[in-house]
Amino acid sequence: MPCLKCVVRVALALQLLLASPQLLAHAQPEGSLPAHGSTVNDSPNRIAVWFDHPMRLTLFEVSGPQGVVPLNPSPGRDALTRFETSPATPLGPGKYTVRWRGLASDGHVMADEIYFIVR
Amino acid sequence: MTPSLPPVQFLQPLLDLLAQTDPWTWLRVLAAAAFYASALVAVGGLLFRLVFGGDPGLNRAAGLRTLVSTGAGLALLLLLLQWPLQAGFLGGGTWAAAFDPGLLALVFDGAAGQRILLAGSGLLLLFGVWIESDRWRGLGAAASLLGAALVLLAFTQVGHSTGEPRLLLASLLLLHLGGLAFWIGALIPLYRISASPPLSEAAGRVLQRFGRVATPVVAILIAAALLLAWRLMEGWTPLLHSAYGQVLLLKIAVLGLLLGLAGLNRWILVPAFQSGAPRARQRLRASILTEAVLVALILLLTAFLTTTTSPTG
Repeated sequence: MPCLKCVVRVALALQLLLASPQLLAHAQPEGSLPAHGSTVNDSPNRIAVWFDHPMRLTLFEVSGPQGVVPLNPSPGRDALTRFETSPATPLGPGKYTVRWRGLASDGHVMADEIYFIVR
Repeated sequence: MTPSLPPVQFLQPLLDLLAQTDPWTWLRVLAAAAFYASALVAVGGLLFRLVFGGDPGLNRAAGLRTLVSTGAGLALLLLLLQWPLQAGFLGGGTWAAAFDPGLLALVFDGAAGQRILLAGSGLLLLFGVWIESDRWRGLGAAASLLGAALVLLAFTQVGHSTGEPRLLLASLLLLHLGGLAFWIGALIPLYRISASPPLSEAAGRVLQRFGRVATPVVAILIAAALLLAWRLMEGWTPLLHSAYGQVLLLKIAVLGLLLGLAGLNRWILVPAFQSGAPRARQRLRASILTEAVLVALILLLTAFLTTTTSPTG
């Protein structure tokens, strides 16, 4: 096949051209505030998650005994390694679930759920 | 594995992962598995033509033209379907989010967009050339090969293999996928050519050659996969203790069955087919069909693995 060498060369050249110079990272969650599974005595002032590489958060939702908790601010879809927000009103006693989804720079969609208890 | 660990406790990471997998994610897993299958059948059909396609009668019996063009067309549709499915998941798993222009743009503006462009161009080339003709000469052959290369390269644009060392990881993935495409793409043509009694002699020769060529190809694809898994998991410990490792173990178990069938075909069923033994044709075709089912299971496990979890947890 006379064209095979040409095609292989073109494919290799494309691979080199398309290889992104930046590290395309598969971001992982590193921690949260309040910590996953923890119990806090009062309503937390801040609710946060952080990652080992930049993540574009597309969903960040806190829900508890009264339903979905209004937050300020909401995530803006910018690439960030830490997102921090506050409940618009103090949280009453009960179990709260934080659900987030986001896009890592390697194209993987990521999701997780963490919970904490307000005493 | 710790011998005293009860099986349910040992499988807890996998059970947790299954419990967390929502219907929208299952939809993404099914779409990804179907995309893998159709894209690899299209690329593999081309490789089959390249390696075994000297006899026009056999090519017609193998239905290569329909196989490659249908595989490429279906893969193209599934590639486009994965885009809104990903956007929908990011927005919380709703159809409204799936067609949210902001989320669609977010998915496209990154590694996933590069993958769509590369795979889409490759599949269009394969579809365009093979819907028109399966003649293996000149520009059509070059365009087909370029299309297949683009489709395989697209797999290296997203996910774990984009980490460092990128060239090594991408090369291992390409080797793995090339071998897999060769194997998967041969199953339907081999099944078809072994059906026709007038073609038995020529089909027997192709089946025998396939067995010889496939042995080193499969060895390379397994070696590449093991090296890739070891690099991504940073050792073998997560194989037992993480959901990713446990799904990978399931995949390896199915692969073991598949290798057993491949060995049975090569050393027992194909020689029996060539010697015209009674019922050898039916047994061989049943075995190839079972191989196809196991391959489908492997692709489903792979799609589940890449959609729901990661090597590092």
